[in-house]
Amino acid sequence: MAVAAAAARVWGSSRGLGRTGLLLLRRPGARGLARSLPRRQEQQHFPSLDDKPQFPGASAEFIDKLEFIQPNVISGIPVYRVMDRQGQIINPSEDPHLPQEKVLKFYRSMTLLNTMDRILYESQRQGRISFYMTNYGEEGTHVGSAAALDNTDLVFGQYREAGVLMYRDYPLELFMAQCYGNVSDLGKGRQMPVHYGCRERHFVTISSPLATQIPQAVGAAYAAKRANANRVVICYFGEGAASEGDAHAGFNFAATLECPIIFFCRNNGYAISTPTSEQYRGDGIAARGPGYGIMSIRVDGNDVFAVYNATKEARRRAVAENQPFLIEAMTYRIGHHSTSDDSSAYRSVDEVNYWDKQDHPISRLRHYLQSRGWWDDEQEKAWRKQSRKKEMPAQLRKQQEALARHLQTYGEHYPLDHFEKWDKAAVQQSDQEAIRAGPAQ
Amino acid sequence: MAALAATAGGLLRLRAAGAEGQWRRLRGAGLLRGLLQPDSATGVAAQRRLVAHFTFQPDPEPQEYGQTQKMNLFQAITSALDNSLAKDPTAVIFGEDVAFGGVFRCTVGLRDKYGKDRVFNTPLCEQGIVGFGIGIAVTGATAIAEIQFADYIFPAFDQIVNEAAKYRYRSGDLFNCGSLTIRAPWGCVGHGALYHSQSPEAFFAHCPGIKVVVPRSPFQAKGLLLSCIEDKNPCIFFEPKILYRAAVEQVPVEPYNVPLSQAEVIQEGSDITLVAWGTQVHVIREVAAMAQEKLGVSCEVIDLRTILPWDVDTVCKSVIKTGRLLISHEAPLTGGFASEISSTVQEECFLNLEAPISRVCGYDTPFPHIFEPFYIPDKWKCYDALRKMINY
Repeated sequence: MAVAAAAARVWGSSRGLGRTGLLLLRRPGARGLARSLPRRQEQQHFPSLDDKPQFPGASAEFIDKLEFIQPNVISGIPVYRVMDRQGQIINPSEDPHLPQEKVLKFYRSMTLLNTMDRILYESQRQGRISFYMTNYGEEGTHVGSAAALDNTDLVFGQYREAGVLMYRDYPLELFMAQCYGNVSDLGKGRQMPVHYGCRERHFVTISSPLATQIPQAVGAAYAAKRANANRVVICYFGEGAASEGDAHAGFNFAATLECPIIFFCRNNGYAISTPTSEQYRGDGIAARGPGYGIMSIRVDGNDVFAVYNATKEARRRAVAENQPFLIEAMTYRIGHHSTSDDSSAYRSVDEVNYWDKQDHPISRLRHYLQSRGWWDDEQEKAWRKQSRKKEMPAQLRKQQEALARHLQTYGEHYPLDHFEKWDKAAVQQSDQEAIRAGPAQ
Repeated sequence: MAALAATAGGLLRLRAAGAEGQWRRLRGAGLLRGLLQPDSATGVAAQRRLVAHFTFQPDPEPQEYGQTQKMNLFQAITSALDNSLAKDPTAVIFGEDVAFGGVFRCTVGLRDKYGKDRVFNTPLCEQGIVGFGIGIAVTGATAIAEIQFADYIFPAFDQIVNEAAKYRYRSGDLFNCGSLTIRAPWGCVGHGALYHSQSPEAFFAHCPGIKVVVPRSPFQAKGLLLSCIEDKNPCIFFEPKILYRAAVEQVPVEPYNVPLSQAEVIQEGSDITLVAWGTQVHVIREVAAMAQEKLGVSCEVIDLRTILPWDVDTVCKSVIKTGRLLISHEAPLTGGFASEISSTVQEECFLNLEAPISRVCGYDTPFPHIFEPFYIPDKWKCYDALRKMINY
């Protein structure tokens, strides 16, 4: 650490200066150097400069003391946050001062995702769909980052980023169509549930193999750079996928080929049952970035404003400077890995409850909204009711319609007099409108 | 397998017993090593390392594509890449060491001509090279990835099989990486041993969603490579490295296409069909000449050209005519692509067959170094198999 700091002081940033410095050294007669130094040192042929390492592979000083660099995991890279756990802004200069509608869109996206997750998880338990993965606890990482991007920025995801699509107004119908594999699925029913994709919304179709999207995202970023598109590519992956060779490949290529890409790691504490202590021994994923020459930051993933700020700045610089950025968003996977998993087999219910109750991105944002007077319990109740209604699975709606038709023919056998008349057309129309309008109201 | 070893071993032991004691037998040390141990004491069995097992046969100068130039295989590749970068501004070439011209000189001059953002080195990472290429292709740009040797393509196997091949299907055609082409030097080279000689086409033949192509000559290579680059599916283009310098013929300077998934009947015949691809086409051409001269047998010689999807019709039409089929490839026998051809042909042409289909291939061992001359399916092995089929 001290060595690196000393080296940095002498040579500046490692990019470029080292090589230029060496070139000057190799030609002592070069104009710049010969003129600036007094005669005495010229006669000595710059002894101190001769002592610098000339290796092409690294720009560094010599050291004559045997010293291993200690990996720093006790006090690792700090976690950037804007709000405390009660949703209060800590440092006012870091408050992004987003307008009310935008922050409400954050809130509605996160809660709608949460509701959809509950319903589709239940659907799987009821045998309606074969499989599902929830996003509980990580909604802040999706929405905060998605909100900081342009709509045309290309997204490569892993499988727990549905909130990004939700924020981009992907209709609930299409989420569900993919999960059900029905005729409305744009993916033509070919993949397991949660393998969403949307060309219009620049969200590349999810694939099951982990981390394969990482080098692909780098290639896409390179092409965007060549096309002068002023677009960034964002690539999401978990801390587990970051162990794959493809992650190493992607990081290294992005840095050497100078690609405008944001690597967004959702560090949620578990890869199925494998805790981070069995996934890596270093200081998480953020600490790997500098090893590749990548600008890196660690953020509180449950703080939607921190995620937003970091992604916003990373995007600006990635595009302007054609270099990669690594954001490690610390969070917690509240749900099971998938419907095929029961996480009580490897973690305590108390641990899960802590994150659910004490440090949840939705609660923290709600506290913020409430303290600004932009949200209250009444609106909460109304919104919950409305979002559940949007979610009615296609199956049930079909059955509802079938019942209505049945009643038209056989109504006399039912106690219809005891019920208010149900205006089918009006209800259907308002349902369709609600779905099309999407969560952004 | 054991029978084969025993027979071969038996033959060689007989020869050793009668010979001047040039060969010694080692016990229990593997098939080839167990049979042969070059005697370092005598210089008589010194290996003739510079003699190739085939003679390249150039095709006649093509007339229909305009001006031609004498080119070897790597120059024909360069020409194809040059044409591609000239007409497609999104096209980029990348891989290990391509910037200075490539370890086989296939990309010489291209970086100077088209710029360092279009012809560039990547870090040493095949899975990265292919993954990166897929990403470029996803945006619609043309990606031409080089893997330095086909032997090193395996780290990229996941990206090729699980990603590239399945991109369009799994997304319901929302996304694809059709503008990706992967090039890799392929096949035996005389001294390449385990890791510079492999022919891995069979691994990829088992993967719906990609195309696999192997040219036999400079003219074929340029036309097939251009077709691969323009094809709307991810393609793997294997280049027989032993032909890079050895194969020279007149090749058109302007771009042209040789169609994919079309086998070529390069010599018509009536008694037996011989099928091969890449370097081995020249071996079987020679075998056809030997058969005509020594046995009066008329061979139909087919260059398969595209391994996946392969031209079933041309091969079956030929076998229906001749009644006999011999397929030959350097890759090991078991699970080699000859088994696919054999299986399909016996399904389609069973009643036309006069003899069992013969496969003359590499042995089921890793590709050896010093024993290469014994390993490869040379003209004598092919000739012998042909003779047996004629006499069946």
